[in-house]
Amino acid sequence: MNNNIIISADCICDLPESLVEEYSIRMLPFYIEMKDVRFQDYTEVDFSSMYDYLKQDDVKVSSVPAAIEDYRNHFMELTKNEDEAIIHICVSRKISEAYNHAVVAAQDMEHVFVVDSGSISHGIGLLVLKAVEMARTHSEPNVIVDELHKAKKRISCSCVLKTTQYIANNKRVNQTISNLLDIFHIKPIIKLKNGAMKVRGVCLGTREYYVKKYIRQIFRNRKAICEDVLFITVLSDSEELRELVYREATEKIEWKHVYMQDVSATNLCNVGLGSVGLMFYTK
Amino acid sequence: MSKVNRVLEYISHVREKSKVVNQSGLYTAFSLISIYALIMSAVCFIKSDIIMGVVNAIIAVTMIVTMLLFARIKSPKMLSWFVVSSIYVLMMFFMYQGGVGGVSIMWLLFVPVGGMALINLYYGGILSFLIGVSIPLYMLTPLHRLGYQYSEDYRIRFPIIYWAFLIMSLVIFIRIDRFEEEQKELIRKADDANRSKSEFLADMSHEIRTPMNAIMGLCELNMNEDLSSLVRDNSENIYRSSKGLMNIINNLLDFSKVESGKMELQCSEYKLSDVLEDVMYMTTARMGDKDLEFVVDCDPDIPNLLYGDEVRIKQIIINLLTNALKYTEKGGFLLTLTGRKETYGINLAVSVKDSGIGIQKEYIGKIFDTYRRVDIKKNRSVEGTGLGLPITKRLVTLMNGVIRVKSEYGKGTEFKIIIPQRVIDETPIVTVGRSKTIRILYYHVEEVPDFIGESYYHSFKSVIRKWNASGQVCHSLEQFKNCLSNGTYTHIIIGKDEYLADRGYYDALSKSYHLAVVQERMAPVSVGGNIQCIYKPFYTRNFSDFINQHQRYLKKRKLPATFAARGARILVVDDNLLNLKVMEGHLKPYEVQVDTAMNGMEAIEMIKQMKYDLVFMDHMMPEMDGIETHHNICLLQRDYVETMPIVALTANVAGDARQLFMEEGFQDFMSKPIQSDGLKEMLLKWLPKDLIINKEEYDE
Repeated sequence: MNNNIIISADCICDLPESLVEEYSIRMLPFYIEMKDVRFQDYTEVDFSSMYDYLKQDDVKVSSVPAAIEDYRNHFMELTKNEDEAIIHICVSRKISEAYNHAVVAAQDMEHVFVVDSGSISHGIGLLVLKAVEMARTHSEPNVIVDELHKAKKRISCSCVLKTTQYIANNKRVNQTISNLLDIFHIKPIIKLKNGAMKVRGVCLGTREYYVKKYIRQIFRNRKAICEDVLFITVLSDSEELRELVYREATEKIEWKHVYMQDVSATNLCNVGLGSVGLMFYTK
Repeated sequence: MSKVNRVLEYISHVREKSKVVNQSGLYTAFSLISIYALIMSAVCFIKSDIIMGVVNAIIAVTMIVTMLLFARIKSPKMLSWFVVSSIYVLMMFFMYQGGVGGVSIMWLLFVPVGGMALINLYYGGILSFLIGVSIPLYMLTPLHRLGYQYSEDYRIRFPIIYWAFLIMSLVIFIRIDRFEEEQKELIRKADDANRSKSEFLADMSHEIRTPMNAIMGLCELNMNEDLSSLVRDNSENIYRSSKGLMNIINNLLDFSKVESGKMELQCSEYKLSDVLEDVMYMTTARMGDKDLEFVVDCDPDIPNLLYGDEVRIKQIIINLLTNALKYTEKGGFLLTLTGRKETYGINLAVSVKDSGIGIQKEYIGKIFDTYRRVDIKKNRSVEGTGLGLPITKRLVTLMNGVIRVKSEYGKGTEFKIIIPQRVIDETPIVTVGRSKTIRILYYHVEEVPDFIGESYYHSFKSVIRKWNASGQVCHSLEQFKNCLSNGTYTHIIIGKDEYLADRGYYDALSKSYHLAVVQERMAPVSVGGNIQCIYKPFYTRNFSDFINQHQRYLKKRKLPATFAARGARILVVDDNLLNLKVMEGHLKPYEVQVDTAMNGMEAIEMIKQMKYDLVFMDHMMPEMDGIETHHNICLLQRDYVETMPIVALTANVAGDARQLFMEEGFQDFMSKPIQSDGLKEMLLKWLPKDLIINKEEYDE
């Protein structure tokens, strides 16, 4: 049917630039609002510029998904040829409006397939890689979409937040609860279940202690882990913390591929500085 | 005695500091006590201890009422005493009443720590002391028979335990207080040092600028004369070095302004094309002998008339380009400008990408650090203060923008800034002059780094798209000739080297086509009569102007004196003879009549005698400074004084100097060293229009 399949994704899939270029993955930027101005993630702001901005005192930022118009323009720009199909992988619809926007934008475009990843960050990235792999073997778009829906159930996507102020700024948690958690230095472990963010536990104590506790909790059921790819995200400029997370995450499991990867500005402004995340497939 | 005095002095110091009560701390304490009392009240009622239930309920209500009263008391002193007395009464009640099994008295032990932490050291201390005196007075006298019957051991030991708590708390809190004092002192010293540094920099700037004005001015005047090549070379070198020194001084001054929070943006309407032209001109001039390719890729659809701080935007772009120029030895660098529409205007994206030495990964996070130059060993030969990038970052942040950097060691670096700007007019930077069928053939074989080549091609495509034209790029003479014989083209663009390879052929071609040669501005080659030139850097607008048949791209920059104002009289007031000489030299080409005064009094006397069309007034002069002189001039009973423009001429450009002079009534402000272009603008702006006679418009 379709000779070519273009794989596209929300820019918050956080794949390494080398992979994006190698596999010609097309990205659709989200937006970051700060003060009275708005920047486009991926093209205008990146992890480091957002990191620098967030390090200042009393700054508030929030993220905005791409609008319907943005999705429409994006799809139209990608579909120069009639025989090309587009598979666009979106952030979980229970977390963002992005999926709904994409579906509305693509309603008149038969060759555009929108997939709800049920995930965030590298969780989406894992699905994108899966889609790329299948597209290379000339699978039909429908088959790829079905496989992605199956695969997304196997993705483990979690993080431990150093502070809940950022998710409170983005109205994902009540400000009072966030303040209380911060007063008592409680670090929640967030895990995605059926596309929605759930608190799977809390950590206390020093950075080293809570990071170790989080990693051990996530890797508790080792038999269920697919030891193929692991994405590690450490939203800090501390080399010590990065080394600690890498060491802990790779100590007992022999991963085939480990990517230590920064996230997009959108994800950074949602989970905040100091957070640590792990994403991988389960069996 | 002296120790007593020291203690008394300390108490007075603590009292002075403790004027404000820590209200939020008190609210927290009172809330906790009232919650506790409510719970105890409930427990007592459940246990059928009605009396204690009522007592606890009364305590809870009293606490809540007291909290409400806190909010109503406006005087901090009265509030403090109210707090002290209410807690005192409560504690005395606890001691008298004893609570269940006499445990309520234990609350008194919390008073020293709680009082000093929650109220403050002074009032908490007074409260603790009052309670400390009251406890033995109650326990060790017959008074104790009135209330709860404590055992004898209890009555003797409790006052001792309380005083032990009180003394420990005092020791701890006095230490904390002293530590805080030391911290404050250190911060104050650091602030003072920082302020002194800024003031020192501003003073130094003024002191250095004054002689620099003379050096640069006299040098510039010399260069306008007929000189031997050796003297001219030397003069040019002195001038170039002076400019370099001025650049360093300006950077230091800018940095001190940004650091002290005194940097303010001067926003106004500006043309992006003018910014770009100036930036390109300055960068090309700085490239000197470096064999580098400099390309400008500007989105032709960006609105041209924007609102922002033109000077600072120019500074940011120049800083980035200078950085690229410094660290690139071969290849070239690319300046890209794009814009994305937003509700408030556009997000202007400026990117500078080079094929230079790149930055090692571990240094990328440090390049915006103050006074830090990364990879010193390798970059030892590169000149610079290390302030360019920190200033750039701070300016971008001041404009609510962001900056990002990508680099690959050994391959190159890319800086990208995004600055939100308001749009005044949507007219794009490149406009299409006339509509007709255009087919362009572009022949270029020069080997350039990949991204430079791509940007050439991208610029070419942008223009083609903008013009709704068609075009072809050729990389060999054979391909070029084939294209020419097989297609119909209206415009041909070729590189300089391609032209030099066969001048005759291209001169002949120029009779049938619009033909342009892309070449260096600084070392142009002469071309045949019909051939036009597009000067590097290669730029969408130059390209477009060629198609529009505008002559602008052919022109050199204007020389300083393009007009004369023979009948105009100008007064220059400065206490430095050399500066007067420089100013006279600068004004000479305009053929104006120049009078000079070396102090304020002399200037006032001269203005009394005669009306001047323009006055340049130095700021720092002995006896009567520029501002005072200006005020005295304004008081003169002369009808022409009101309309006589007085321009502040000063080496003091620190902080808000411009604002200061404008507020003092000066019509304008010009900084030293005097720049020919700036002076020209000032004359055009303030001299009567009827006195200005146009000379020839351009040099050529």
